[in-house]
Amino acid sequence: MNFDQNTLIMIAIVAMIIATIVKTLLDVYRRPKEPVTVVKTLLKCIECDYIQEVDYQQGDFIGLLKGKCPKCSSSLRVRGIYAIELKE
Amino acid sequence: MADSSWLDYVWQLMFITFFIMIITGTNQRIQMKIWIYDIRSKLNVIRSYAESSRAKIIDALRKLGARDPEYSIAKYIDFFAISPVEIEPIDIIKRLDHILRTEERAIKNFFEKLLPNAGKYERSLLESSLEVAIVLNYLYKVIRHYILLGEKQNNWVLIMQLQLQMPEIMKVAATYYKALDAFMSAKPVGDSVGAIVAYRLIEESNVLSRKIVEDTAIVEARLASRRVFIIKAEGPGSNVGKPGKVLSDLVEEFNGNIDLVITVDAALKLEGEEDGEISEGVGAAIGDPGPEKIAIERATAKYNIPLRALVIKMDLASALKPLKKELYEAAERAVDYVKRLIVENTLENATVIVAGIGNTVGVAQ
Repeated sequence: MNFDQNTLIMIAIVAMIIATIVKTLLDVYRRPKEPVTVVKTLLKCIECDYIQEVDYQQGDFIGLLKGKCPKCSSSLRVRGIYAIELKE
Repeated sequence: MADSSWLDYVWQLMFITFFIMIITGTNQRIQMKIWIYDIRSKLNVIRSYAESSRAKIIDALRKLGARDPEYSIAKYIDFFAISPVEIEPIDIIKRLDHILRTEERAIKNFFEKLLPNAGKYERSLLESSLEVAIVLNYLYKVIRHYILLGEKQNNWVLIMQLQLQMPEIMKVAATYYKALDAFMSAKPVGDSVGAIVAYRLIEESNVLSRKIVEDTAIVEARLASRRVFIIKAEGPGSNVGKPGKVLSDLVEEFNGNIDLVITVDAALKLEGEEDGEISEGVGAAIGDPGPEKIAIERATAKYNIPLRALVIKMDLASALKPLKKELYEAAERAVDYVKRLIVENTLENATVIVAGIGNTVGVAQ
């Protein structure tokens, strides 16, 4: 197919207009992706250096005594609660 | 040849159409319609945040045995506080403090009446959640007001300004909506770093006494051979306490015989700075509307007590959303930083006050 110069310019302009409309509509509908996070509870033994990271459970708070240390059987205390971003 | 003349007609028609559109301002109206469409779609998202946050609070209230929570929340969702008169500065802090305390008391009373059998902890979480829902509801109403006003007055400048600001507004709305989850489930947020530093200092020191005054914990301890008073909001509920008032009263109790005051808080970072950067300075690191900050400044200035500040930097989203691991690690580093500040700036047996500022949700003492 042979196109003259005018037709090519016309096709280019129409393509640009369509691309602009599509981009505008995409901008309207596209939502930014939110990173998926998971909340962890960091437990530390009150006597030895044992540290364990477990999934956060409702009711956890920093300072809470929760469970027993598998190394020395002392209590474990919640030392930190934090969110970690999951990599896709 | 026939093809070429047909294209010429189309070309001319296009240029005439564009010319007429520019002369009559039709292009601007089309642009405005696109902006309005975009703003309205974003406004729908904000409305869904506002409605969902309200529904979550109503659901939580119902689970705790509240009667007719829909009616009660509908009554309080538009709750507001009017700023004091600023053109007359005399007593402005006293008047502002009075308004803030009245607001706080009104919301507390509302939940006490609504949930007479619930504990202070559950009520504090719902108080903060209601504040988040109030912000989202207000944000929705303000954006709706401007879009309707712009349409009514055919004011494309207003619509354009709104359109340009919408990405930032959407970020703020999404941040508040995410904060709701943290407050309802009592997870520490970014703003809790000050409280975490205070908690960790308490954990590492030899505690001598503990008391709670005005929703604020005061822990007297021995740390690095110094007498240290550690102040933080009473946790683990959602609460910021009255650290300024409590610190000021403590300074007065000791007739100003305090060798050093350190405040630790979260601070908004500048673009380009990393989340969790720690900066040291002087002054009161506290982001309250005024009364608590001025109480610290007045007390330390009255007795010439050095006032040091330590801030952990983060953006608004990180401050309100569940605490990120990087910020938790920064709080751990800040504990050592505070200890170093105490040792470097005071002699043994000195008396020091450390105030961990911020919301203590999910952090005990």
